[in-house]
Amino acid sequence: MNNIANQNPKKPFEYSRKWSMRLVFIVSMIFLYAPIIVLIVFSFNNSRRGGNVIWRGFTTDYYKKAFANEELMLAFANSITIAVSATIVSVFLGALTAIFLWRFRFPFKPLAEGLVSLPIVIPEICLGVSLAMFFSKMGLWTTGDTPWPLNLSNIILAHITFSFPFAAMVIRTRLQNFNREMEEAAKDLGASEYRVFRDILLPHMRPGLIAAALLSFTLSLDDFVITFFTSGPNTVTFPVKIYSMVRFSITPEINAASTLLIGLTLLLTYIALRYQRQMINKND
Amino acid sequence: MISLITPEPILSLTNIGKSFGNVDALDGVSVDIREGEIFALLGPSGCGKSTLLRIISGFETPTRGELKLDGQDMTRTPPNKRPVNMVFQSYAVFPHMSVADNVAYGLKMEGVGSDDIQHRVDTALSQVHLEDFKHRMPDQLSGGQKQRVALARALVKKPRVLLLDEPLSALDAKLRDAMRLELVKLQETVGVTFIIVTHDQSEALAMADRVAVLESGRLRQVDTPSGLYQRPVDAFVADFIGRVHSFTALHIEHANAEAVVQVAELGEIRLAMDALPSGVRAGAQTDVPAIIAFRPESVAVSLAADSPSTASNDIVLPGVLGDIAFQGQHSIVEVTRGNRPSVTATINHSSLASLQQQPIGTPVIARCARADLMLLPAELGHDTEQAQ
Repeated sequence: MNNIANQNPKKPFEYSRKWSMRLVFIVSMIFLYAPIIVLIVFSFNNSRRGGNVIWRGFTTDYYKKAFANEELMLAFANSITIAVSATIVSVFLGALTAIFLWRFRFPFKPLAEGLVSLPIVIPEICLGVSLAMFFSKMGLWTTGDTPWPLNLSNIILAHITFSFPFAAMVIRTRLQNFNREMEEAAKDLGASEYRVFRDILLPHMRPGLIAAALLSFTLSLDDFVITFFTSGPNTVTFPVKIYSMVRFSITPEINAASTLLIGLTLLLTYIALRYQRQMINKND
Repeated sequence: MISLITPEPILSLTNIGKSFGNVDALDGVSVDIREGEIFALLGPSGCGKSTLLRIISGFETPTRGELKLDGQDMTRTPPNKRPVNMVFQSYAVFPHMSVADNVAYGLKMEGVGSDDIQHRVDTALSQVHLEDFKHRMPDQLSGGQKQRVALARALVKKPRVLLLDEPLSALDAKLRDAMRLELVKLQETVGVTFIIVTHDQSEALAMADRVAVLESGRLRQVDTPSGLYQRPVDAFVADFIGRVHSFTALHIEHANAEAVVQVAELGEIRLAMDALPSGVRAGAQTDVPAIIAFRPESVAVSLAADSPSTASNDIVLPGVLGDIAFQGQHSIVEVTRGNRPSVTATINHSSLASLQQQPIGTPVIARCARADLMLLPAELGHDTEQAQ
């Protein structure tokens, strides 16, 4: 019996048994995650300087300090406001786009599909520069004294621009496995177009809508490049604020703030992935 | 049995045609469907039967022709305003609603009061034996149970006509036989007119009171199952309903009360004109391509040595004994004839005994009584060829 077991060729996933493969895997993981783990660990370091890599004891002081930093908290509030507004609009626009592309046939449809997903592939820096130029040339820059949250409208518009294509893509994937007979069955039973949408199509889209919302929210929350180009001195977001803090001095406070951002992003990604899995499992 | 009283048709299709671009999916389909019957639309895939069903349900609008339900023109009425309901091929049970909610959906759309809905949903569910599954979600049901939900959901609306699109195709063989009987019983209980679309001829013959055979968008024949089997109007129907052996008629003449047919391989065959179905008589007079056909059930096989040498009225095909396939109640005997197409005969066990002892290759004679021969036009719609 043992002989037979040894003669079995290795299956694709059993290459992890080979020590060379394991080594590659472990090294890759270290390169990917060591910096993040170091960042998180040193957010609890009791040292005045964040760049200090000598452990001086555990403290949560820098979290307290971060929460007490009014500018940082304002930036955080801005980020959340932008993310919530951009998400609502993105999901709405994304859903409309997805339904339109899924439902209708029209001339140049492949072109339209390509244009919708263009913001996904365009380098962020280009999108950032072009949006900045657009806002200034069109005289759409919001001035510093515009009341909250209208002072954030430049950034919100910019975030909608790059996140709604993602939303449209996720929702369209969900629509792709909708059984059109379901729609016909509802009509056959006496439902109007509106009732078909409300009672049949919308419930089917729901996991897609939630996944799209979480994705848009995450993308908006930690976007730096595009935000950097579209924010003014009084409209700083969390990532941009951290960047400017780093330029003055690196303190564990930055580590703490970054850890908070990582935590929030992780949580949202986890929920998004769970909904996506539900989308794949329940596709009838 | 079909009742002899022919009531007003519940559904009447007149000269229905449907074109998709340059393709004619349906052409000149006219048929009346009677109240309370099970009517089957039968044909090979792509024959237009599904398009016809979608026209009746309202999901397609015919390019030409008229559809009347209870004497009222419904050709352009949208599906949600027709007293017609459909059981879809995929069942299309709403996955986010419980069984009871699925069945109640159509009544809610009608604006039926909630007490009445409760009562009617319970009745419908008991008709399909799903009382105990009321609160289940569709993903907890088997395929057969989902179909019952789809049935109850359509029947609860008390439709004038219930449409079933390939109702048995997704079920496994055992369940299919049971469901076939159950659908017929259900139809008897509720008394609703059923229109069933199917590509399976045995399904159509077993369930339907009348069957319409469609091919290339045209109605070939509308008849009772036994009518289709015994009096097919053309070679297509004869071959589609059961099996036939066919021989090309080379020349047809008619002399006195007889049709004299020159047939490839069989020679001259004389058939009484008045014994022929009316559709064929016209074919016999003109020079349309025709065939002589007979069914395996009409063929008798005997050993060449035992056979009477005297000429009889029978068609005689000499050959050698091929395979014998046991089929339970009967067996199928193959008579091979060199490089010519072999002939099969369906034979019961008493006649089989003498053959069974013989080795394969024994000379035998297959014969078919002249009364069992069918003279059929090879194609009914030969004018379509001219149109193309």
